[in-house]
This record gives sequence, structure tokens and C-alpha cells, in this order.
Amino acid sequence: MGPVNALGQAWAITKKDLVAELRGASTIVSMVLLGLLVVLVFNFGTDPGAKDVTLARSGVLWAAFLFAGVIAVGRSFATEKEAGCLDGLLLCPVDRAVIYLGKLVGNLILLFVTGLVILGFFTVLYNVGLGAGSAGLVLVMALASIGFSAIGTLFAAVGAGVRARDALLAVFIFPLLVPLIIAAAHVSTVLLAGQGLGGAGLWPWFLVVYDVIFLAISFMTFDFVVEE
Amino acid sequence: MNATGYLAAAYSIIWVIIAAYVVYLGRRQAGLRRQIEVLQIEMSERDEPGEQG
Amino acid sequence: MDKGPARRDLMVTVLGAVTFFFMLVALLGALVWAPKEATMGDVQRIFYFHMPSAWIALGPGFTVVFALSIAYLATGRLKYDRVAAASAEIGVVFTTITLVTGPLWAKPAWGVYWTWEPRLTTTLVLWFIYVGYLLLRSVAGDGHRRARLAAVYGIVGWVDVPIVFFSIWWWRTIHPRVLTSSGFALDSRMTAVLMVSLAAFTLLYVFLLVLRVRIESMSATVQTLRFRARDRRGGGV
Repeated sequence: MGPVNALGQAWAITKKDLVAELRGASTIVSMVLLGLLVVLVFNFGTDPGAKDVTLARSGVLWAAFLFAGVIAVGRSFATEKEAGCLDGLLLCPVDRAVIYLGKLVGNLILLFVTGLVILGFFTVLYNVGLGAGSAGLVLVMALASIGFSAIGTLFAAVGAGVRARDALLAVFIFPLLVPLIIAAAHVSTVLLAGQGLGGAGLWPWFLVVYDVIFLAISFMTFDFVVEE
Repeated sequence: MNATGYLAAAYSIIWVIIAAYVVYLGRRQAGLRRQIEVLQIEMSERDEPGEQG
Repeated sequence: MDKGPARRDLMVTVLGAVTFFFMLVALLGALVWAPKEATMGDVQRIFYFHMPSAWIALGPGFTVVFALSIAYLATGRLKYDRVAAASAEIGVVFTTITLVTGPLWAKPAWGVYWTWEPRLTTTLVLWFIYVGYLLLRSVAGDGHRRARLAAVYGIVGWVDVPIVFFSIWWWRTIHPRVLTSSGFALDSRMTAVLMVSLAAFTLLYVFLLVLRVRIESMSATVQTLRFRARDRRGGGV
């Protein structure tokens, strides 16, 4: 099976999931709402007068991202398991890696879009003038979404096997995501403070490396998770 | 709490944790041993021909 | 076959005794023989049990989980999974000891219970990963299914920990703290005690591991026996 064919199949899986998602829309709606609420709620814990965006502030951004993300990946296998579709999916002569890729991209898109909405809300609430920083922020959001989705999709499959709820899923993946959060928070703080990506040093590259490592590991171990 | 107090607390806690864990292991093992014995007796009873019931 | 279990029990008891002996020697060394540290005083003695605890938790404890997770996925032999599970549980114990003794040392020595110092913070993350591993095992049923899922988690977790450490360390060089938990100079007596303590803790790890693996095996035996009993009850007349 050629690579193009595999990508096509993966995309088919992604499309199927996304279409199902958009029809019901409950997942992405709850993701966005939860994310916005987290930003809102955390605001009451910080100094209302301060204008500058400190590390604590951008930490809120990523906390919101994490919670929204857990909802997304938690759903990506849940509906299948409920409907008994996972077996059907596995019966297709499709490489497991293709299934993983399809689910991954689905989660990625959901998370990235949600993340951008949260980011927008955040910059409005904190009156951040973006300008040159916005491209960088979109990039960070993309890289963070990739990393989160890589690990999240893998563990969603793990969780689906054991009927893990969202909280349990969060317990599994949050410790693993610590480096991602550190990097994303740092870069976004730099960008929100008005400096360009250059001010963030090598941290964006750290995100790239992190994503590559965990994408690789997840691909390699996914087979073992899904076999029956 | 002065410095020595912290020292005493730290070492006490270490020993308590280790001791508690060893006791926990011991009890689990004893429990499992009992379960195995019971199950083995059950098995051998079933093997016996002409058993009542 | 008859002699087997008895001999095993004897060896385990001997191991236990040796471990206990080493731990006592280490304790005496730490509390009595080692010199008092110049700036921190007696509180520094916590170090002799805190550090080996951390090394065992982070080193053999977790790496055994990783290595045996791979071994299980490669071979399918449940024995590897059992030892991995045992090592994880013991790892939690040692990590907890590290996280408890760390702040108890930090408070009198540096004035604060906690600093977001890379080693301590990574240990905290490690604790969460270990506990997550055990939690996963507890809801994953048993046998091969549980072993597979746990193995995946064990592998991903182990890869993650050095990355966590590095990211925190790097982050902290950018956001320096006034307080660093860097320590003190080690003189030769201190090093000697540290080595003995490390040996003691390694023995303790092995001893606990042997005990815990035995429990896993017995647990599996109970499962098998229960299965057979159920079969017979169902099949026979």
C-alpha cells in the first residue's frame, strides 16, 4: 500500500470523525466554552490592574488549552467504543498507523481551532496588541496542538480500552505534557510581551523536537494499544 | 520546629513508610497464600471420585 | 520441587536480613559518623537517605519499568509485566520518601518547603507518572490486556522524564531563582556514608522487588485456580 493511499485512508477517517463532530457540535462547543471559562475564572485570581502579561497569565492560556484538549481526545475513541465501531474499524484492511493518523489529525484540527479561539479571547480580555506576535502565537498553538494530540490520541485509545473518564485521561497525560506546557507558556509570554519569535530563543525548536519524539513513540506503540 | 526536629521527623517518616510497606506486603502475601490453599483444597475435593454432592 | 520453595524462602529471609543490616549501618553512619556540615548543621544529614531514595526512584525503579515494558511488548511473557508492576509500586514508595524528606530538609536549610528546582520538580512529575501507571493497571483488568496498556504507558513515561528535567532546568536558567538547592561540598567521610546508604537502598529495592513480584505471581495463580474451579463447576455434573 503506497503512502499516498495510506494518507487518503487516514484522511477518510479524519473526515468521518470531523463530520460526526460538526453534526452534533457538542464536543467542540464544550471545548471552546470550557476554555473560555477557564480564562475568565482565572482572571479573578490575578491582579486586575496589571497591564503586562506575565508568565502566570499566559499559564492560564495553556491551562485552558489543556482542559479543552482532554475533552477532545477523550471523545475521539469514546463514540467508537460505545457504538462498537472500533472493531469494525479494525476489521478494515487498514494499517493501525493509519487509524492513529486519522484520529490524530481529527483531534489536532479540533484542538487547534479551539486553541485559536481561546487565544483570541485571551488577547481581547488582556488588551494585548498583537501585531507581529500573532503569527508566532498561531505557530505555538499549532505546535502545542500537535504535541498534545500525539500523546492525547494514544492515551485516548488506552482510555477507551478501560473506560477511562476524562479525569483519568487527564491524570495520564498531564504529567507527560509538562515540557510542552513549559515551552508553550514561555514562548507565548515572550510573544505577548511584544517581542518577536527571536526573543524566545530556541524554545520553538524545543517544541518541534518534543512533537517529533512523541509522534514517533505514539506511532510505534499505538499498535499494541489497539490490538484485541 | 528546630533543625533537629526536622531531622528526626524526616528519618522517622522514612522508617515508618518502609515498615508500613513491608507490613502491607506481608499481609497481602499471607492473604494470597490462604486463598491459594482454599482453592487448592477445593480443586482436590473435586478430583476425588465418589464425592458426596 | 519440594526443596525449591523452602530454599527460596531462606534466600529471601537472608536478603532481608542483609538489607536490614546495611540500612542500620547507613543510619548510624548518617546520624553519627558523618561529620556535621558547616552551614546547614545536622539537618543536612537527611541528605544521606534523601539522595539514594531519589536515585533508586528515578534510576533502577523507573528504568526497570521501562525496560521490562519493552521486553513484555517484544516477547509477550507476562513475567516481565509482573516485575514491572512491582518495580512501579516500589518506585512510588521511594519517590514518596524523596518528596517528603526533600521539603523537610529544605525548610530548615533554605527557609522554604519547596523550590521549583529541576530535580525536585521532576521527582514530583515522576510521582504522578508512577501513580498514573498504577492507576491504569487498576482499571485495566488483568492479564495481557493490562500488561499491554501499562507497557505503553511505562515506555512513554520513561522517555518523558529526562525531557521534563531538561525543560525545567532550561526554563530556570531563564527565570533564575534566588534560592538554589545546590548544596555543599562532600568530604570523604560524607561520600563514604552516601555510598553505604546507596548500597543499602539498592538492597532494599531488590528485597522489596522480590517480595512484591512473588505477590504478583501468587495473584496470578489465584486467578488461574479460580478459572479452573469455575470451569469444573460449570462443566462437571
